Amino acid sequence: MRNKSINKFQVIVLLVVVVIGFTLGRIFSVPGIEIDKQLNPIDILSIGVTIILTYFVSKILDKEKAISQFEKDLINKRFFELDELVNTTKAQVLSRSIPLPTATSFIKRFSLTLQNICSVIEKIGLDYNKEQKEKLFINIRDLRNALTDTPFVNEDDLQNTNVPISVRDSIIQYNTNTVATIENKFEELKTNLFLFQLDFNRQQ
Amino acid sequence: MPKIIISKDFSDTPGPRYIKEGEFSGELFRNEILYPAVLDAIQKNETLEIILDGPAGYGTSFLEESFGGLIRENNLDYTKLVNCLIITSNEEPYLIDDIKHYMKEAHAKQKH
Repeated sequence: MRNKSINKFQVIVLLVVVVIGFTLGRIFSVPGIEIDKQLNPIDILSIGVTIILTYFVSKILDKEKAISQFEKDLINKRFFELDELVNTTKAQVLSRSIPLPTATSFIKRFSLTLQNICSVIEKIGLDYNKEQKEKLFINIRDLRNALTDTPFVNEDDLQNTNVPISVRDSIIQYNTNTVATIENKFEELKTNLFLFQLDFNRQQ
Repeated sequence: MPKIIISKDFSDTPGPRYIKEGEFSGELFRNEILYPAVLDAIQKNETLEIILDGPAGYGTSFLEESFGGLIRENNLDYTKLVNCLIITSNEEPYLIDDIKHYMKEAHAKQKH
């Protein structure tokens, strides 16, 4: 449907342009200006070469643009994976307990994936915001401390159920205030990840 | 040079701070592997390489208890310890600075 309407529109525009051109040619016959009715073969060749070159240059540019967009799409998929990883871990923390290996492996997976994304961006000749990358590493470090830095405790502290963060059988438990603090840190990480991705996609 | 590869010599999943908190704790690692190796290296005037790469990830308290604990609990000399240890990590290089910070902080607290 869409193609048919575009074709009709194009035909109408073409007809209108021809009619206007013909009419203008009739109305404005400028005295002193004559149009040479003989064609120079060199000029024709030159016009032909220009048209062919224009066609190939635009084809090459289109292809390069398509490749660049394809590479960006692949990298954006990795960003999406990172965002999913953050969301999954955050959901677990909001339930106020998380297995210690889940928390520590989240930090490592996030760091390694981010490093890999940056390496790939460099390899394909694009750029990323170094300052924004550093911010993300500061965020992930803060988050690691907030998630896994359990205090020095004695037996009495272990019996206290309202300590900010405690570990039993390798399961970390957080109190309400700690969960709120960690949630803020997750949001900060997500915002900075989004800004990093936005900055990367703005590149030509 | 003697070395400790944590993933091979201890665990792929380093755990919490204390033994009572769960498996593969920093306290266990320090008592059974790190402290004896560091002591031996200091006595022989050798350097000891600690390779962090491999495990699924480290919690802050595991690293603090392992390395800060060498000063706080085992009373090792800070300068001798720093000169003896070579810590390497390609996967998470920022952990090296964190560990140095834990040892420095334990030393600062010890002085007070």
